[in-house]
Amino acid sequence: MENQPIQPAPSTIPNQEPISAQTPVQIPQPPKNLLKETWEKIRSNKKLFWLLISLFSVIALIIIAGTIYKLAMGSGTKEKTIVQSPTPQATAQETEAKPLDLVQKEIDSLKSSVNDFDINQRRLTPPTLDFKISF
Amino acid sequence: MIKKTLSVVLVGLVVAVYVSKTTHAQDFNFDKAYQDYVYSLTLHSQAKSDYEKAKTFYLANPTLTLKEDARKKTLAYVLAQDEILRVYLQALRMKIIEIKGLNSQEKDTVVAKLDSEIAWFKTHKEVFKEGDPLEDLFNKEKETESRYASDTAPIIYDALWTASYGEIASIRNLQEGVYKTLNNSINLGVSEGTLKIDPFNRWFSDIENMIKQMDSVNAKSKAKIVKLYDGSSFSPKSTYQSAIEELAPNTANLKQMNGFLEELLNTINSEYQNSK
Repeated sequence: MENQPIQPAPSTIPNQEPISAQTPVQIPQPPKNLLKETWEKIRSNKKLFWLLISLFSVIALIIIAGTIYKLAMGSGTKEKTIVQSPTPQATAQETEAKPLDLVQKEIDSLKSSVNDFDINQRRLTPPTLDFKISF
Repeated sequence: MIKKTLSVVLVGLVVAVYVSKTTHAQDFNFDKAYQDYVYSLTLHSQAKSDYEKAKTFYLANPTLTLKEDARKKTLAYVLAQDEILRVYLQALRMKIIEIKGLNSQEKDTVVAKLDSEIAWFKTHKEVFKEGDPLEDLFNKEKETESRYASDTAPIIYDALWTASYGEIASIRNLQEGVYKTLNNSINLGVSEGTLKIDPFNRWFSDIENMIKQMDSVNAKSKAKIVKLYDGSSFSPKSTYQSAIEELAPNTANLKQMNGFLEELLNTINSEYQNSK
């Protein structure tokens, strides 16, 4: 074995690309640094910075307004007032399209309106007041 | 920069609170105003009862302690009187606003008068001070009495009349809408040869006379209610009652008009049935 002649090293390694041709390996940056870098970029661009601030303020305001509105209205379990929708008024244009049985419904509704009508507005009778309080 | 951001957020908060309040104000309607009035009536009645008891006890046994108790109860009562009037006027205001039969000018005239009274009673409540002696309370209550007689009562009765007048007008507008529909339907049937104009032509004339009659009743009643402000009124209440008596025939007229409309509709339907 010792007397065997030493083979000369090959001048090139077969099938291997030169180091200069290889893509450099990118070490991933930690997200904290990435955020910091982005923030610095945004800060350096005044227009972009104020645009973003305004955008976030608007979003925050909408959230605050929504919360306040919800608080002011109470929770969802609160009873909602049922607002009676107005009876549609008949117009000349509707004549042909409107079947006459709808007119009967309107007349029925008018009958109940007249029956409910109180010309003396008893619900709104003025309060009894006593101004003679001296003694 | 932080200051700028904070100021933007602060302005936004103010806007959000304003928007929230506006939305809340939009939800205030006659039903809620009326509930407030009913609640205030209970408070007023309680305050009156407390005042009367305290007054009786003091007059039966005029000690300093009972006088002080009577003073406190009197103060509570006079405050409740101002409050009940303010809340009542507010309910009347909402009633007028919600009536569809009134035009904007009719509404605005009454609402402006009610607003001025609401503002007066709101301010007048602050005239009463916690430490006011009894004599001051009596004198300050005379201001309320005088205001009520000179300004508030005529406005209240004007608003009550306007409410009735407006409700009649709302029903009339709907009736006239139905009448137009039926009228057009008859004219169409006549032009197509499916209906005969007789007896509808005479009925139209009767219905139009009824509309004129209602207008005439309204005009007579209006002429009476304006007396609230021209100095010829004996008392606002009696002027109101006389104007309402004048307006009352329109309740019967509305009923009769409903009958006419129903008759018209039934006849159209039966004529169509016969022609098939």
